[in-house]
Amino acid sequence: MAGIGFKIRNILKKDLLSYDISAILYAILVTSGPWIISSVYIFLLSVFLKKPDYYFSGVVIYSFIFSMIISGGFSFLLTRYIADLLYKRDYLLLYRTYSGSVIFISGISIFISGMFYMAHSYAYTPFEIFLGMAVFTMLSAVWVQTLFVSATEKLSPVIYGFLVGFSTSAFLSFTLKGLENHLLVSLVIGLAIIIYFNNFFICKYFRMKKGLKPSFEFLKAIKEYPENLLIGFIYYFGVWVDDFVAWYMMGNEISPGFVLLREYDTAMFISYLLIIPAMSLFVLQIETDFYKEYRTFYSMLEKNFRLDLVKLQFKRLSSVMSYTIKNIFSLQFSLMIIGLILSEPFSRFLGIGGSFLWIFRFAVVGVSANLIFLTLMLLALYFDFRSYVLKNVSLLFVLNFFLSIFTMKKLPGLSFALSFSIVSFIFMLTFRIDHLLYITYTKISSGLEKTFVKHIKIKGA
Amino acid sequence: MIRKIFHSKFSEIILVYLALFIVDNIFKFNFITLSVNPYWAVLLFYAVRSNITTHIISLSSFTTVFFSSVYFQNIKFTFSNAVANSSVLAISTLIAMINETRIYRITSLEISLSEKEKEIENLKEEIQKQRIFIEELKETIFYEGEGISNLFLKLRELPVNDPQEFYQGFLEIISDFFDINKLSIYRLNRGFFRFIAGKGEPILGFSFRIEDSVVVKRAISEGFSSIRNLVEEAKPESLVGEPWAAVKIGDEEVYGVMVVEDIKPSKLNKTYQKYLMSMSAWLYSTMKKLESMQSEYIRQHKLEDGSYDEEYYKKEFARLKILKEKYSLPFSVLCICVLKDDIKEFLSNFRTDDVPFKFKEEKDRVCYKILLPMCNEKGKERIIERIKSRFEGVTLCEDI
Repeated sequence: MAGIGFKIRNILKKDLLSYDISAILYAILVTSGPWIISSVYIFLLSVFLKKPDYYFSGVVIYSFIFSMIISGGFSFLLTRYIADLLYKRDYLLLYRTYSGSVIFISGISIFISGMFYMAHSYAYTPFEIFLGMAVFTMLSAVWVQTLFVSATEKLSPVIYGFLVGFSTSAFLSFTLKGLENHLLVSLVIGLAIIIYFNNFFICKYFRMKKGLKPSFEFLKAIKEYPENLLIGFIYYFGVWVDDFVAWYMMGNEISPGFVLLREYDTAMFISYLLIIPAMSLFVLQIETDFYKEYRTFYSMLEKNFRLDLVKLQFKRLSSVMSYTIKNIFSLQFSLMIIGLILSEPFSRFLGIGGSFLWIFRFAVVGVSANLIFLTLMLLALYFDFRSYVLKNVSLLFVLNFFLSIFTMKKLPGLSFALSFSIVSFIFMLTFRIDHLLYITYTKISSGLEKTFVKHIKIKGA
Repeated sequence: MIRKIFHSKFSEIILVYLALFIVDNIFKFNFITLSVNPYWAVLLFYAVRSNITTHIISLSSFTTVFFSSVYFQNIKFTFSNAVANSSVLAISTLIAMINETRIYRITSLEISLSEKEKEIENLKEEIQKQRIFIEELKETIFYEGEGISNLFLKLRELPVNDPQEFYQGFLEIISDFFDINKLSIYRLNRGFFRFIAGKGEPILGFSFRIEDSVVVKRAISEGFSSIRNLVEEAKPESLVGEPWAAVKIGDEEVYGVMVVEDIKPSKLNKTYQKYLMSMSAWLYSTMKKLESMQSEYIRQHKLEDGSYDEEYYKKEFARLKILKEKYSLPFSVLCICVLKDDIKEFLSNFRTDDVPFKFKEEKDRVCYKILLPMCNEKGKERIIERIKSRFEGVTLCEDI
């Protein structure tokens, strides 16, 4: 989110409480705006619609989860590629990459959803299949668009896009009641509006003309940054794998092909709301203090500043990192405890009993640990510690998967809490940037021509 | 590390919460359900007073006692209890974060201060460089104005009939003009640099080899050298007893060296180097002429056996006496008798500058008085020892 830092810094310049709150709200909007709007939309529908539409619920939940996995899987690779293009100021290729990546990920989404519906074609009409595939594909495209929007300095138009899109969708849900699958139809229209808004904004921001061919050059970046692709996919699978195990072991098929576990999914969904403040704080600190020191540090290295000055800047960078991690940890820890304290009254308020309370408690611990993990992971990726991050996400996936298999039936949610806590703890203990100077210097090209070294064996040596 | 933790604030926090927890359990106060909860005081106190790490420890302790209280005392707390506890917890975290922000700002300012101090250091260095540069410019302006022409006028007036007088005069004029406190001139002779002009005892001695001084060694290869050039390359202890600077005399052949023994360090700049080198070039050409004139005069007074006649001896004696009085330049007279068979080998033991004079001849032996310029009593003792060890039947005049 290279661009929004500028906006936040401008807001924070005025040392007033009202401006600080504005900056925080802006950060919340930026990090969680689409998510909050989507959640409000689903919540409104579930409250106001008297008759549950299971196919619609299945499509929405599956589309949200799997579109996030697909787009999220590519997000680490794409973010890195976008950052490189921004650094080179190659806006033409950036736009072509945007259209290329949207087409590519939409293609994958069509393929996957097509496979899914092929297996369950007996249960749905072609129109239902079309709507299901459209929701899934469009959501994937929206997430990819959001990645590119993050590169700009303005995010408000996108938030308006989401607001208009979902409001239209909600409005149509009530007005098109007589139509078959009206909920899905209205959602597709809403998503189309969001896609149009995003596309319009991206084209306008990068001042693009028509007729530019989409570029798939970003796929070549897989060769250069294979870890980024793996990190994306393994991380998102790691986050959701306990859900899949829960569905497989205890889930109910609400509609052909759509297996869900209501208590588990609701607990996870609500608990994720608890990370919004800390996530916003992360964006706020990364985009303001951290990014400034980070840029200065690398620009000093590039310009061959004196070592004592570079060391001082490194001290500054370490200090801002420690400050960021401590603040986020502290805030999330508090939110976690608040979540745990409020879990029982909250469960009573929602009227969901049974295993929900414990699943929710585990989920609160798990999402909190997930946020810490995500913070450390993103910081580590800032310093290009890709293999290190890959090891940690792999461990996370393995732990969550196997612990889920063994504990899901007796203590659902425990595996999620345990695996994220363990991996976050390991990450916190092992993540060090003490040798960053040495590592960075050794990565910088010496400018010497590559050649062969002849090894000579000296007698007696 | 672990010991440190146990003796620190962390252990204090745990003990405070534990104490409250014990009191709560004994007297069944049910603190967490009270509208004024004593745990809050501890939580807020550490949030206000300490950094965020301490707050996290305090928060963890609070959580532990909170849920332990729920478990052990079987408390069913109400929604308002939960909200009150959550609110205080949130406020304490907010305070701790504000505190942490202040700490971070202080750390940032400390780093900025270090940066500024470094900048000041750099600026000071830069100012010093600029000062030296201005000094050099001033000197250049002076030398290239009337300074140099005056200098050459003075040098032209030096007497050329007596080389020693010439060198001393040259040395005095140069020292005065370039503000050098002590300067010596050496002539290379059979691998040794031999002192020919200067004031008092030179720091490199009256005679030394090229290996004895790194400054001179560098000057011979590069024309000019100063301690300042060598200080970054050589070990500091290797520069003890070294002169401030040295200038080679000669072109391709090494003729001698001018050794600057005492000077203000700030004077050792490029302008100085440039002008000292041109002075040395002038001295070199003059020395060559003087020495050719001198060698002709010496040839007239030199005898077949390699010694000199009485007239030459007396003249040299008088001249060295004057130099000793005027410039404290030492000289010695050695009076020694040697067997006739050893004369040739005996005389070859002396320097070309030394003046042997045969004053007495007997049946089987000859006695010489030998003038030893730039040689003090110690040097004379060493020469006597060497001669006695090499030649049998050698007697000193005093022993006769």
